Amino acid sequence: MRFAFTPEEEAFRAELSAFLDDALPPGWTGPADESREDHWALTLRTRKELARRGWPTMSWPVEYGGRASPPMMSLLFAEEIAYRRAPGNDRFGTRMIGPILMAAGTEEQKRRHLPAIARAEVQWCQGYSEPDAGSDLASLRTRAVDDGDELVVNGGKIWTSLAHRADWMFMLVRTDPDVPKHKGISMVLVNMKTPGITVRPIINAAGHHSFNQVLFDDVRVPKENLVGALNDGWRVGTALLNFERANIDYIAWAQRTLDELSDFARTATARDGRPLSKDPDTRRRLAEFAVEIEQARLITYEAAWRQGRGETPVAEASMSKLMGSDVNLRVHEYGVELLGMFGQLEPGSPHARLEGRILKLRLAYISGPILAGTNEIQRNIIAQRGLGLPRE
Amino acid sequence: MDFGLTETQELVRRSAREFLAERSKPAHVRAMAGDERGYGEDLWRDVAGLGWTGLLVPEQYGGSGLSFADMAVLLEEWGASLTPGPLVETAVLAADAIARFGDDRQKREYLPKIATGDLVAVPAITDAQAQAPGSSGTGMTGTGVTARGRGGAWRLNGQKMFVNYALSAGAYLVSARVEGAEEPAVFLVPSRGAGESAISPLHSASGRSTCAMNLRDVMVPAVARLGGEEDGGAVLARLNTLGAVARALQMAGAARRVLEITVQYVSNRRQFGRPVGSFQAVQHKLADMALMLQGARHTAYRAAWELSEGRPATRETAVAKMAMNEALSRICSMAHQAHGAIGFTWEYDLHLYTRQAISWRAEFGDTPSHREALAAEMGL
Repeated sequence: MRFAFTPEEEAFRAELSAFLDDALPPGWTGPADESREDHWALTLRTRKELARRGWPTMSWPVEYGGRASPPMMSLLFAEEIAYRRAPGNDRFGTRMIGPILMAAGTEEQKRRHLPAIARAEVQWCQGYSEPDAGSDLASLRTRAVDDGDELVVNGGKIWTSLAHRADWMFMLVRTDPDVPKHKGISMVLVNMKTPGITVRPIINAAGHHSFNQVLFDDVRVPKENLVGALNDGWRVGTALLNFERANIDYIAWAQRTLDELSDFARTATARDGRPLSKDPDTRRRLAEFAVEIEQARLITYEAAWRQGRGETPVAEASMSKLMGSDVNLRVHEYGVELLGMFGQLEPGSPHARLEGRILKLRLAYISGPILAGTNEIQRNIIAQRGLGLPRE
Repeated sequence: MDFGLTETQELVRRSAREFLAERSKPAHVRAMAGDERGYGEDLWRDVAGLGWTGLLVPEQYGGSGLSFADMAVLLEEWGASLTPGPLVETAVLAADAIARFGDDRQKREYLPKIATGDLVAVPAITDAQAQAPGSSGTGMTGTGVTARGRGGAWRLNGQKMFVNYALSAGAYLVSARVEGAEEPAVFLVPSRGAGESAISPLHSASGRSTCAMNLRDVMVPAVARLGGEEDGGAVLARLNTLGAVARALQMAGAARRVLEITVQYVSNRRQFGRPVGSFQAVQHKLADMALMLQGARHTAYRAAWELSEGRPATRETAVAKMAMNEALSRICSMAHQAHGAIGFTWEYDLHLYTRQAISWRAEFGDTPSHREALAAEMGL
């Protein structure tokens, strides 16, 4: 039983923090807006610098250029970056397709893609969801038809984050429509420059362009880009996703904003001239959020600890995602309230408090309980895989 | 981070589960709830025989000298079975306070008998002012009893409330306001020396063993004071800290058991041709219960670990009690809902947990008092 980090872990966190002090522009409050060219340049620069230090891939096996670091170290990496609202944590490459290729890719695929991911030379995106396949992902319909040396892909993906910046996509396609839905899916790697691909921006409720619709019109994908066996894509493409659910980002974001709100409360005055931080309701809400965040954090740390022991903490990972995404959204909802009438002011608005970023984030974080497996799905997983309750 | 247990802790957990499953079944809990002494002598003797009463007592005084982290594992199981008995009051609170603040004479007089189970010593630190939220726990400085010093003795007058197992206790740790001084004091008061103190059971939802104690001209020697003249506040704070974390651990055990009972119920109960646990609404409710338990339980163990590392754990204690107060209360409520009408009967064991949750929630700091402590720790 030990609720503290080792000296090595603390030292790593300090080193990363010092790196970010240097790498981030002065007064950086983040997050980066990936549709801004200057922020995207910062993102690429930061990722390259992090890659030079081997941090984003430190959990990778040594044979692929990693350090075989335990999951807790990757978690510390992600936590500090998220707390700083810094760009540079490339989950699609280093945490998704990288591990998928290591587990199921051919030697040629590994040789071609893994070093580029490790050097932060390439941007990936994930082509899974479709307009008619969200929670019911296995019902996906984007079709890949055998045509000799190539598969011909037709259909469309949606909610595809960073497709507008991506060089490659790893996607799930239907290669056999005549078998039960889970059994007719394959995973393929697609070069985003392939003719026939159209990326259409989707502006989200926060007013930002972060995800897209991606249309495929007779897109020819070499068969050598098939990951794993034909029609084994469901297993290849989803097994690792559970681990990613134990995601410290939400918790770090929530903590960061809670800290900013606490700082704000100490200086801003209420009607009676006293600091907001002396108002009983404010004290109550901030303390309650601190307790919730702490719980979500410990749940996530435990999931990482279990992964480090070779376990597959399915229920714990879902608990982490559920609680983290939920408390993160509610902290930001509260933050907007704490700012009173001024909570509604957009970034750039005269007299906006905290530069309007609480509002921006409160709108952006609506997505948390929805993406990466809705929180309803997470509850199903906790109940069925965690508590053993019967499926419907 | 290490969420695993040591071998000692695994052993304590296993033996506690086995022993308590056999000796502290719901029927026993129900029987003791109606008993003014509040626990079974046989059970207590065997608890002492297992070394549990001396678990925290230093070895030189006849105990095992184990850590609070080791005790934490036992406390979770003690709570899971709602076992009646002054384990927390005596083996945790009194043992720790005396070991920490007592002089050599006090340690020699009290600790060995606590270790053997021969002495039940309980805190008497709550006053009538605890009737409002935010006033139990660390905020209380014993204003209900006044201590007047004369010669080499103290005269205690006033009233303490919610003294657990008062009718069985051989000694009390009584907090008092000291006449003419700012700092409160805690006195070790033997029950035989309690003069004309009337003890009356308070009929709590969780049982009859918590009492009001009226002290009328109770004389104690100067040496009965625990700690020095400036230590009273620290003694009280320590009692409340350990009490809060101990309750949080018991609550984690109770919440776990309520969840287990509920999972079993909804898995077996069939309506509309299928287990009610196969309906999504029910699954989501249980998933939320599991989530609450998971997070809150970690905070309780975290506080226990901090204490076992010799740190004051002020923030961790506040977090743990707040988290567990909310978790156990809501888990019990949701369990009732998932059980339907059968869970609402006297005969079904669920209300035993709901009742115990009510008293534990308020004890050693209710949510408002810990929330305020946490806000202060956060620099607000």
